[in-house]
Amino acid sequence: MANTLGMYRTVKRLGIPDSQIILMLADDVACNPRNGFPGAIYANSGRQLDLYGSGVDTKAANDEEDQPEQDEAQEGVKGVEGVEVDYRGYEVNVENFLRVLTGRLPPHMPPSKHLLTDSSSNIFIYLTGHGGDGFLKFQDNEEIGSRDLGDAVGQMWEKQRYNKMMVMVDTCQANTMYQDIYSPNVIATGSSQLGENSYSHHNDMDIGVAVIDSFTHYVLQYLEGIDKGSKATMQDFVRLRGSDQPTVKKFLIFLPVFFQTQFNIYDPEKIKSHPGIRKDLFPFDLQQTLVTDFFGGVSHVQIPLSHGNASLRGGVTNGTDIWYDLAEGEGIRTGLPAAATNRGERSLSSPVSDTSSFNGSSTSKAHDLSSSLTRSQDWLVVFALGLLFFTLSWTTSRPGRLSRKVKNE
Amino acid sequence: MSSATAIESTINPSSKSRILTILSFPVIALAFGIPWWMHTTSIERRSLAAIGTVRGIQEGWIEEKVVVRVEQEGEGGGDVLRWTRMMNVCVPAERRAWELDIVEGSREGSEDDGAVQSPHIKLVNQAAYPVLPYVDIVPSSPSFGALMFPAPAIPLRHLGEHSIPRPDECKAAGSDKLFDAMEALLPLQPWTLPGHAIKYAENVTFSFVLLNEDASADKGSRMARGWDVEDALRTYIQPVVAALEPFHTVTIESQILYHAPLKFVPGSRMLHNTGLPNDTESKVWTVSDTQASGFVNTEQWTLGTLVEAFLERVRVTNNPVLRFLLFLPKAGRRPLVLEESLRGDGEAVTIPPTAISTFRIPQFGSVVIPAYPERQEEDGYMSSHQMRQAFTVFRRDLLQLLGVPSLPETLCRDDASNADPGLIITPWQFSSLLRTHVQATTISAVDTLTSISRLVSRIREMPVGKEVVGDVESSVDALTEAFGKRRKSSRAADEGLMGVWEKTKRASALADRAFFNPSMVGLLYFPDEHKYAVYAPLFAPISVPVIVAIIKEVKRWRKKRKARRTQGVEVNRNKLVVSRQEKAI
Repeated sequence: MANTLGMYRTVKRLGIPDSQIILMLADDVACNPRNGFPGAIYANSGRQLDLYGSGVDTKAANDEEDQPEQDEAQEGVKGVEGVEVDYRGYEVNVENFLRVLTGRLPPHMPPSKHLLTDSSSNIFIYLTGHGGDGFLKFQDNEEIGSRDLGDAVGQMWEKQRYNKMMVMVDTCQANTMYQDIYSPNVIATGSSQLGENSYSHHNDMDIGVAVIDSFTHYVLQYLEGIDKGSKATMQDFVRLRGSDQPTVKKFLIFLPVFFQTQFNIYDPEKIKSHPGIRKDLFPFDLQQTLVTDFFGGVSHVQIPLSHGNASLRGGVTNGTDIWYDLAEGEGIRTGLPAAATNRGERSLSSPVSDTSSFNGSSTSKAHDLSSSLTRSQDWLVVFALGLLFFTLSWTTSRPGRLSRKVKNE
Repeated sequence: MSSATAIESTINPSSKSRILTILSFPVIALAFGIPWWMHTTSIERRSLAAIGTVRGIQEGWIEEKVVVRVEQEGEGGGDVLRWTRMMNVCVPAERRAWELDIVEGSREGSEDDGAVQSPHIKLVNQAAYPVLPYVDIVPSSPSFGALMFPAPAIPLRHLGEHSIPRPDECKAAGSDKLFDAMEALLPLQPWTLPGHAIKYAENVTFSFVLLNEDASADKGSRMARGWDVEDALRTYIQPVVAALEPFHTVTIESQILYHAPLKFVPGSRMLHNTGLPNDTESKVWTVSDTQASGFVNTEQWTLGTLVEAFLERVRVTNNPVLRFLLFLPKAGRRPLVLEESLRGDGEAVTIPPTAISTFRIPQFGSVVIPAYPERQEEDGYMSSHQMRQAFTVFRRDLLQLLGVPSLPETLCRDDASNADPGLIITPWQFSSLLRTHVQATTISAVDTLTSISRLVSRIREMPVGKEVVGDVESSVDALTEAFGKRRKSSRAADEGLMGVWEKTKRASALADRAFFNPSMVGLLYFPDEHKYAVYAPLFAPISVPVIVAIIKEVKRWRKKRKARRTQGVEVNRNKLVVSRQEKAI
């Protein structure tokens, strides 16, 4: 639960609006009567940051008091208010999850439950809960198999429902979850390999449960250092826990499958499991792919080139064709002669396994174009199987608290 | 003894009926259970053979020509007729997407009906006009929207039924020039939609938003309390919406936000001579490039009135929304300009009171920031005239975000570039866009159909129901109608490309509906071990007594047979003894 809400808060902070986030929570832990901190969910034992209610970052608030002149800059930091859950309780099931991905929802569903993406959207899917070899449990009574996930992604690719996709799984044996994906432009990562558990990061003794999982904790920790305008690439992201540490290098040698040369990500010692990455379907260079491509809603703005100063003089021209992409720093010619831009990309839709066709200059061009134009459309599916450890071991912590009370009396 | 057997035989059924009872369990299970199980677990998969026929339809294969009407300014109707015929022959049909036609006298009546006319060429006298062809975009001009083409100075040869003009004759009549101009306006291979434009959707929502950065910072009437958005929309946006009516059904929303904070603090610079009266040096607030890309604060700005629209039962479910934001910086932060616009000018920049900064966000909308927001002093209202600039920008961006091509620069005259036409879409742009959309919808329909058939053959668990097959077949029908035999039988001039468009649009919508049919979710793939895991606990306990009973019965039968055999031997022996006794007697 805290895993998902932490991820939710982060992507929202990075500029993805609620209308483009589909959040699935199977349980309402915050409002459970057994929650000792009603209406709040914390991802760390210090309980600095409530992920559920106000979203006020108490640390940031303290900083504000120290530096009053920074007041306005801090406005945005604390501004993650409320959580918009799109699917909750028993709506969170395998069928609905697959329907959201493939877009095959009944017509009466409101827009907030639709994944309204097209070929220019980047999608980030985050899955967490209890898992096993090739499956992930939903609601204690059903499960989604890795093959179902692969097929769903395959159908999304056929209908051009995404441009790039990232799948992140934090469960036990998570790396088996993405083994059956076969569609191009997908990068997948998981917290632990086959036969391995994914452990929690630490416990909160007052609540009596583990609050967040290790893998997610470190991912979020890294993302916390990133803001909207960040130029950090996926390469940096996966190098998360310094590759200068000798342990990582050792693992590089021992586990060449999981740690391919570039993706020498997360530190297995800290995470307590071996996170995996699958990038054979991902034709783009990780050094060119920004973290905000998946985690942030950064729109690339364009101003008309001839405008520049003309605008300051108060003139508005009508047929401006040259537009200047502010962030990319290159002129983009649009309008009539824009011609065949996306055709090259589209032809990829049929040969799924043929990744070799992605190499070469044409690909990088396509990438530049699409990424520069589409960041505003980044969509995100966050999915969670809630009911982590919160409610499970709540009862165990209760006697302790009571006895303490008795002592005080 | 005999009474005991009698009682036993009445209590226990005969061995025959016992065997029947035992066997009836597996027989019923096999005879009824298995067909019923097969029926309930089978996946309805109807044939999608119809899709095979669309493979022949090539992407972007549009045979329908755009009819371009030709008229002449002034006298000399005979030459126009000759020229038109000659051009149609000089430029081979497979190299052009247009067909020239002579203006009929009755066409005049159709000019006032508001709809975009068909593109036309006006032949002008070479002596009076410049030699290069251009498109007239001066709205007041009577020939607005026409391609002004210089008429050939030489007398043209009359062409017979089958005669072909010589290449030099063609050239002298201006066929090369015409071909170039027309290729720029109506290319043979239609433009694809540019990357910043949204994908085609029939229903589009425009959302116009007035944002006060912080109304409380503007004392009293300095904030913008309202805006005359209806008048502005009527003046600037309505003509465009009307012109695009064949493509889009537009829903327009407007919204005012009184508190729309930015997520960053704009940079500041001191500028000399900002252009304001009595002001020689003042502070200018700037938005840097990276700040601009995070300018739209989706987290804190509650953009969109989708919920309200939903309550009013407007079907907005899947509408793409284009947002046009008029942002008014708060007091003390004016003027707010893009850093980009100050670049390179040092401190010599002047910012006139009417200056605006604007940028476009691909597939999202555009933002306008007036440097010094105007509003009426007494009530803080913004009149449509005060928003003239903003809405002109919105209109321009709106057209581009919908993929309307702009006129090629080579065909624009310098003196016309400052014109602010009321109707921006000339028939040329309209026809070009029409061809683009026809191509895009065709490609989309064919792609969707083939991907349905590919997915169905790959994913064996995917059901294909009646509705899906129905939609697929009507989609295929619409495509074959658009590109198939229809054209041979009746070439209805009034239908033309618009008729093709209606059909391809329908085909694409139906194909999408088939793809997204909720019944198409195949639930689910189960590995074999899962099947055993599910069925074993269910059937194992039931089958144990049946199997045990059968085994018992078999055992009993074997015992009986054995007993009967030994009994038979004894009987024979007895017979033998009897016969011996008889012999002895």
